[in-house]
Amino acid sequence: KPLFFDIAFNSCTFPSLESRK
Amino acid sequence: SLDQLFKDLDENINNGQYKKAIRVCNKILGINNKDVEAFQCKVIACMQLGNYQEALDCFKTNPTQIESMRFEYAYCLYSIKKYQEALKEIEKSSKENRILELEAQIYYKLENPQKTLSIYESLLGKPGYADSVEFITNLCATYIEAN
Ligand SMILES: [K+]
Repeated sequence: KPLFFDIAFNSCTFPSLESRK
Repeated sequence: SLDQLFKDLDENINNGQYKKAIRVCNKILGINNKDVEAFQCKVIACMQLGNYQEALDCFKTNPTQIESMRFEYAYCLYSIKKYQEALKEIEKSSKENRILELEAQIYYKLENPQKTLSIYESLLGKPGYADSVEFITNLCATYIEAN
């Protein structure tokens, strides 16, 4: 099987908490 | 205070302490179960830990949050191999890049590289893709699978 990256996971990011701190 | 809990949450996230982050999210959600940022952080922390079913379970008590986290919800379904359910969520989404990336991966897992290829060819023209090693690797893999 050729190498295949899970590139979608790179977009699983936390929201900014700057306005809540 | 709530401000302090969010400072703790931010610190845990920045240190990659996702289990601790979930505990802080639960404290915040105990104060206000409608807190959007705490809910979103809890879901993402579960995902970062690879606990996709736990992430999906968060939406059972808060189904209205699915709309603002359609990508994450679909990604969790994909991760537990519920590909058709994931595709149904994607149908309801706007066609942003990350959704297209996910859709392409689902079709790859479903051994439909032709569909993956058509999505990847549309992404290739967008900024950042042609010089991404990971994207080009996937594009090559898809060409191989599609013969
Ligand atoms: K994963």
